[in-house]
Amino acid sequence: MLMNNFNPTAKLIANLIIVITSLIVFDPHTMGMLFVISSIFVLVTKSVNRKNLKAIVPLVCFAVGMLWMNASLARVENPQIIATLGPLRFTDQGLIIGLVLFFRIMTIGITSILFTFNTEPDVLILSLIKQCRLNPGIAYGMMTALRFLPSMESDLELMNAAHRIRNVRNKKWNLKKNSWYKNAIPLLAANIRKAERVAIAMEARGFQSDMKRTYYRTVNWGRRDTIFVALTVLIVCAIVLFSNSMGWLICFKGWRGF
Amino acid sequence: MMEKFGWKLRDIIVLCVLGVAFGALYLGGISIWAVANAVFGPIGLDMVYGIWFTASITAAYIIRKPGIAFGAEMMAALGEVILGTPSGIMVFVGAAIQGLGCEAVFAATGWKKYSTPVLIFAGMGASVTSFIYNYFAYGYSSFSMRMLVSMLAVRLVSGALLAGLLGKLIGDGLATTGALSSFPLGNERSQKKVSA
Repeated sequence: MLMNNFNPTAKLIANLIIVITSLIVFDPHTMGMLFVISSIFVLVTKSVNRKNLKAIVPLVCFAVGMLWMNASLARVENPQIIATLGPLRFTDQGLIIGLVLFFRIMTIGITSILFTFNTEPDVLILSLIKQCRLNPGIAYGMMTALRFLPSMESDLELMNAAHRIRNVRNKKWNLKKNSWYKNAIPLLAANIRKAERVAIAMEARGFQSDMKRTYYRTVNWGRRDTIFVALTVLIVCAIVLFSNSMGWLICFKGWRGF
Repeated sequence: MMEKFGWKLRDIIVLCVLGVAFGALYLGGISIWAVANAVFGPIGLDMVYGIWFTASITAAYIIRKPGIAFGAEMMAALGEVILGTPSGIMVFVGAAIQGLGCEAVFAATGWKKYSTPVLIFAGMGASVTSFIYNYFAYGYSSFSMRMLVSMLAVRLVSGALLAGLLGKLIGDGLATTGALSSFPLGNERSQKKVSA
């Protein structure tokens, strides 16, 4: 919960630095270190909980998929076969490529826990206005749209109830529940109408998307945020330099021509 | 940017609402992807990839202004981040690339034509740009040429069907409800009705 104290833009910048580094680097040592450091950071800041972990399960599946696919199917020169499983032959170099991609995807997942899962939506949007010069029209539009989310859920229940009263059935499957298309269209239509009303209300109160304005709540950039971003840059640089001095570092090995 | 492209506040708010709604749909897409991935391996990603361009197609089809396809994708990404996506900040990068793919096709028509083939091509445009991005991000270069071609082909079909046709279907469904009367798509509908 410590991560909540930082400016969301600082968190986004730090996240971007780690993720872009992980996209450039292509060797298992550096990538592994990036992943381990990010994981340690997640544990230290106590950012992790069951909900976060559940959310990144698909990504973990994808990472494991990429690991075995590359280990067994990658095109490599002079492969050494290290294991066989039925028709699959796992090669050493394929395994290395697989490991790189595994750690890359896992780093993306773990940093997203660190940064995006621990940010309040409103603070994020206000920070995007102030620090990233996001257009206030879009920002307030987004805040409005977020306010619609809880009502979308109750709209959905309402529609299901209305369909049940009229005994509308999903003929093909003979289910009592509606198909998603039957739900999605009225749900979106109702919310578009609502959005238009909100736009009129905002214009009636003199809201313009390109005006200079003051804010009830501002999100500031403190010294703490500067230190946080600088520390991230420093750690990432240290990892890259360390693996360079050990002779491990490989960049952009991915491109090998067709 | 807003004045240049002629975005009105109404367009922006509707765009944001579509973005949040599609952001929720996109998160649902992740669980479909997880299942497809478990069954078909990485090509499962290409099968469902089209879902993640739908916002661009639907929003551009409804609002019909320059930059809407790109904006819708970014809004959906912001919605996804706020609702909690496993890919974190990467969705912004991915969304920008997909949005540009869609927008490029609409730009090629001068943001004037929104017929079914154009919408399908826009879906396929996003397929191409996202595939190039994935090629580098997920090290596709280690796969054989035959596999890469089949992955791209599957993704193009997915972009055409799940984004192009589904996006149009959603837009048409919304137009029949009459909720789009103040948007180009709704106008087109009512004019057709009058002339018929």
